[in-house]
Amino acid sequence: MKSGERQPAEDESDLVRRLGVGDAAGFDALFEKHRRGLFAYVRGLVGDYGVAEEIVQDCFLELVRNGRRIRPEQGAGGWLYRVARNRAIDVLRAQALGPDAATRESQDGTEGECLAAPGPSPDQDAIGRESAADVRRALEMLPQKERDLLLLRYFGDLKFNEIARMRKRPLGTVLWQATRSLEKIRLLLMDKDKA
Amino acid sequence: MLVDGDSRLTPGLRDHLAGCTGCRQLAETVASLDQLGGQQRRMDLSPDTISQTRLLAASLLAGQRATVDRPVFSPVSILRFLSQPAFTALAAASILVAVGLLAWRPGSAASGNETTSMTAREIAAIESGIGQLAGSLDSSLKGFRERYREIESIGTVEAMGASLKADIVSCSMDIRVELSNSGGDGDDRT
Repeated sequence: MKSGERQPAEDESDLVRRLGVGDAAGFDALFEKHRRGLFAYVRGLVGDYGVAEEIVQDCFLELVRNGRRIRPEQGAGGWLYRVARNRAIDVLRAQALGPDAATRESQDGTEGECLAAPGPSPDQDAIGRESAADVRRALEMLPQKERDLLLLRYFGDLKFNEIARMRKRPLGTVLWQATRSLEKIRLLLMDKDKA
Repeated sequence: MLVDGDSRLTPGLRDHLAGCTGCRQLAETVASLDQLGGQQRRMDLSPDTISQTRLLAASLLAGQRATVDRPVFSPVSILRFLSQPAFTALAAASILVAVGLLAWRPGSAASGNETTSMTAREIAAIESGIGQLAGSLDSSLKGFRERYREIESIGTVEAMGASLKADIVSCSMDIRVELSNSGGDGDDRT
């Protein structure tokens, strides 16, 4: 299995159980397994590298503190992404309420809840700088819930059934929401091509 | 194009995408997001943050293990507590009080029945002892509850045990003093 590639949540029950009894090896395995996906997801939400790092670190420490309360059969992934999302939203709200919020909004044309401007990334080599920026911009234009779903799927690399479990929604509903969001992105990218 | 190179496409789907612009564009969108996400996941936390997180987690886990290894009330600690001299003294005092209660027959003193061996002073002392025992135990329990809340945060069973022991010693001493003061000298019989 490639580094950073995720295993099904079912395989995590033993790791969560070990974490619950204070086993550092259990934590290391979960940290290794989830940190890149979680970091990509949080960066997609908040944009800023440093802020994303802080949130991810915070999430994992929270995982240690609450390890005993997590049901092993549910795995740690859904729990981590839920905590990360809440933290990211707190940060974005604080930024939106901050003294420089008005300036930032007028500069990037986004509202407080939208994606922060992404930092530099090495994603330009394959799909091209312009194309990556277009996809990012299209993502930013989606409502927060729709954007969150796509970030969980494509940045966090969660399976749709994991997202459905995390959001406590039927799989069919989540798939329908994802298709609708993808369709919106497609139209946004088409509009950009026409312009 | 991203979609054309995707090995997950079945021949049938590939044919469909070749002829359907809408689906093809949607597939391209998915492929772009997929690729962008994959590239994002290749990025990692800085080495400093990784090592710092591991250290902090190890420290938290060590703290949790220490708490798990230190049960507040284990059977052993309860047995140790019960075997302490203070508890034995309290039990002895309780037996004395119980014997006194059994020996006391209401009305016997008032009727002047000489068959009873207890004087009014003895009865009063026993009653006083019982009241004091109840009061002391009540305050001990209150103190115990307060200390239990303390040890929940600091986790020192020993501190709580020593303090409770002091309360019980004090309580049993009071009763013994009361009983010894009650005399048995034969005076004041009714």
